[in-house]
Amino acid sequence: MEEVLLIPRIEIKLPSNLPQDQIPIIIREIPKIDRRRHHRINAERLLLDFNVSKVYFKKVLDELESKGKIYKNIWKIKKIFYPNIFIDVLSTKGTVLITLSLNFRNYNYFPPQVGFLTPDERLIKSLNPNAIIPDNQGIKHLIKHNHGVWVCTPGTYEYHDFYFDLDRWELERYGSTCNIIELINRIIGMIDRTNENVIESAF
Amino acid sequence: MNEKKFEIIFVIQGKEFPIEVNINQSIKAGVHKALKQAGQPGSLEGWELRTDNGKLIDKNSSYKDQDIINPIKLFLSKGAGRGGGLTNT
Repeated sequence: MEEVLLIPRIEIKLPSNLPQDQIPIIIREIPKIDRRRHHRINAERLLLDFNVSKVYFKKVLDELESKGKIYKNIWKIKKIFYPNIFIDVLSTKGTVLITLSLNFRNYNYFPPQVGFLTPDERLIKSLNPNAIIPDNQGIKHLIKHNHGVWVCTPGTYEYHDFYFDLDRWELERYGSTCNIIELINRIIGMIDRTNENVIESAF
Repeated sequence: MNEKKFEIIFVIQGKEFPIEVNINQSIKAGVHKALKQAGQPGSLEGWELRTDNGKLIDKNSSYKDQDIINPIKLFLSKGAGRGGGLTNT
């Protein structure tokens, strides 16, 4: 069934001078980003104070480095290059299934933007529906979109952008729901790690 | 009758909370204790409990019912909660 949009999409043009390494991989090299409903968060066009976001980025790194080791059979840090952190998600056999791309540009004024990459770091276009675990109400939170897969759960850019008027990031960014360890585990909990074929297609 | 006792390590946001349990005990009692120690007392609603291979554990059952009969690490995190959709992935 064709999706019916009650609210028109808007187009956001990226400024030409936006440094490439600041752009989340999920939208890199895409000249126009379409957003639904509004562009109130609209972080694609904004680069706020680097010094502020670097302070918060350092806090995230400290937390990941001090607490992340306990999850070594589930996920591990692959690569860190400000404002990005790549996390390898491991299968139950220990192989790398996918890589989570977390972009902390403008953090924590805005939430991190999450993308899904293949182990060789190509953007995943779609995930295998059989490898996605719905919540206890049968709702899936990993949603295919034009530019890859979106994570629709509190603590992510996509969620708080979409639900800007209903569920504000700034009201819960310091709460446990939006804690970075919590967020990573929540996202990985949506993936069946016993299934070695999580990726359906990639760009 | 003596019930077998052992230790479950509940992992919450990267921290370990060891709790002694017995094999016939409801899992949610241990979860409740661990969350309280983690400074997150209150309802268990929304919390998901998994093994390190991602298997979801029914908190309302006993350890024996879930084949948990020896010390193990179990991982607690909040479920997806709000948002999501019924579209394909």
